[in-house]
Amino acid sequence: MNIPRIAVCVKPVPDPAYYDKITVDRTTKRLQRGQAPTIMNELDRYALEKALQLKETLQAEITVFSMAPSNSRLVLLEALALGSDKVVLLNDIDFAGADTLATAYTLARGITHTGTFDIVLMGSESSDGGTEQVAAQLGEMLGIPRFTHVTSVSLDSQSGRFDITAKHDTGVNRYRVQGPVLCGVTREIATPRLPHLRNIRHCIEKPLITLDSKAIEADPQRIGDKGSPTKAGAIYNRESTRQGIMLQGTPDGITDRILTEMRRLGVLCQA
Amino acid sequence: MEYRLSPQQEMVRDTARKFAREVCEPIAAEIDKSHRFPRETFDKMTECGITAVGFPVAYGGTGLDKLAQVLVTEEIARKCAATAAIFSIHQGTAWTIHLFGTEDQKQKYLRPLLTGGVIGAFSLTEPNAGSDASNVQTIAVEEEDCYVLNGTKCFCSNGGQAGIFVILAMTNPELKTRGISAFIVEKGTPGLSIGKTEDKMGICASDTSELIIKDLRVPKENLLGKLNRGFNHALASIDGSRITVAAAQALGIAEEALDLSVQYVKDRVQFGKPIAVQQGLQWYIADMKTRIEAARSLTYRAAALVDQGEPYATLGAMAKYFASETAVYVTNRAIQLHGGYGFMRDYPLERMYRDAKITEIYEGTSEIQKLVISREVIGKIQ
Repeated sequence: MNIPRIAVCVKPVPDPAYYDKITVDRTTKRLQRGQAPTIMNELDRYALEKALQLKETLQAEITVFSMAPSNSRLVLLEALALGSDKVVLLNDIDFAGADTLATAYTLARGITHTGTFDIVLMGSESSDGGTEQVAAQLGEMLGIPRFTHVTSVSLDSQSGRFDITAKHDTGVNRYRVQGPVLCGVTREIATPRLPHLRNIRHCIEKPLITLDSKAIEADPQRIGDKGSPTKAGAIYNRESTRQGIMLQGTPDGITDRILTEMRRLGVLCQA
Repeated sequence: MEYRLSPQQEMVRDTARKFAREVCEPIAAEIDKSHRFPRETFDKMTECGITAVGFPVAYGGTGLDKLAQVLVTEEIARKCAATAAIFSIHQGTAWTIHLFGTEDQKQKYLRPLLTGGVIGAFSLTEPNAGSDASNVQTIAVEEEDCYVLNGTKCFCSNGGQAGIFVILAMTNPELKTRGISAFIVEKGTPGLSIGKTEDKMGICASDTSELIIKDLRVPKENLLGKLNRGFNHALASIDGSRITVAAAQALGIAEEALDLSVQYVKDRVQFGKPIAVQQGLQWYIADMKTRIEAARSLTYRAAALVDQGEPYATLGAMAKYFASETAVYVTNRAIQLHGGYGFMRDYPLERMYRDAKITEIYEGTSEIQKLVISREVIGKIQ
């Protein structure tokens, strides 16, 4: 097998620490990120870490793909500073408003246009969407075996076979499969590193290629809002009427108060 | 006038922010309470190049610039001012060696400091020589192949943890500050021992120790810079490090205190509505934010002057003076906005208030900064 080629899909998302700065446009029903900084989707960071570990042991080559607005450049430069070899930014005004299906299609076109890969890695879900659909859809569109909730991946570089462990509600499945494959990963896959500050200085010199819908020969009917069957319904603010109650006193007294309160609310049966 | 960070500087800031959130914040309260030096944090800083930020690649540095150092200190100080102090004082020591060291000294000492996990400490202060360095009583006597040092140093930041020290001593007492020289001393050199570790009001997890120097033989090749020029070297180094050690640290503390306050006034309901609707409290927030932005402008601009090779001592003094007083003002106001909760140790604000105070004192007190500034503005009076 030649040098393994790894694709990692990365989504820039609003930093969850600043969710209070985010609003939803009631007309377009899209997120308004406001002053919330953009960061790399957390699980994608785990996927990239796995790719970096494979690169360290197998001299693999990593290409990062991202469908994102051009102001996400910092997130992509960070991927380069971490050790990726190349970034492909899929950027076009017509990509805006994409749901998971249109996103998966756009990523698939970008990946196919760029080359062939032995493995595609990405987070199982994004922190701002959380649908867990893109990995499965992208695998289907690329026509390769795809696995989600992947907790470990190893590659036998002689045979090109992958050993993959994926978890589900009641246990784990282990697979041995010939590449290429796609894996949507979970936190168990690796522990992400921070970029070494020395690499930040030079990341800007690595290739960051921007491709638009024409470059990847995308079908205009399958991208962005047009290509998205998902439509947002009503948007409303969640009203929270929850209130904390401070209980003070001895442990026994507090326990009695809690039990009484839980019975009053019907959480526990009456004694 | 272009006034924005470069993409690399933004990435340095984001990386430091992540580091501060993931590594510093979870232990900040614990190390403050137990006065525990977070050695493991320093090792993690070394792993990702934070200890080496702003130094030339030839000596193990990351390249980048002074402003990058400021951004790192600021982000770490937001979550743990003590850790920011440890880091920035360490960097200040390395900076002194970088500015005045010979090529051999830089090769020998900078790499362990920047990439080897060795901590640096800088020691000028003595019991009777604080702002007035002319009163230094540690003596260095020249012998054939070495200088023999005797004296006692106090308030040496990182002193009990350092592997490499820069120590200032009198080589010609008659010349006062013009008779001071700087020496590089390695931990374990016979004659150097660590005395009392201070019990401080703030930045409790940082180490501040006494150095006991008794017949300490320092090889002649460890004279740092020129003989009898040590005080000038120290001043030049402090001119730069006060931008990072104190101004950036103060800025970080103030920003975090403001963020916590903004969140609190929006969440805290009194008289049936969030206290953020009270105009009196809105004005507190406006004052806090305005002072922070002014402090940021001074601090970043002072760092940018260093990077551009322009004179920066006066603006650095202004940044240090204004940012440190801002940190004390903002943390004080933040506690007021939090009411009783701000006074409780369960909340980080009382720690930040205690931590902020040192920024008005070390690396030259506010009064010394005003002296530096006024001398530059008024000039020498005949």
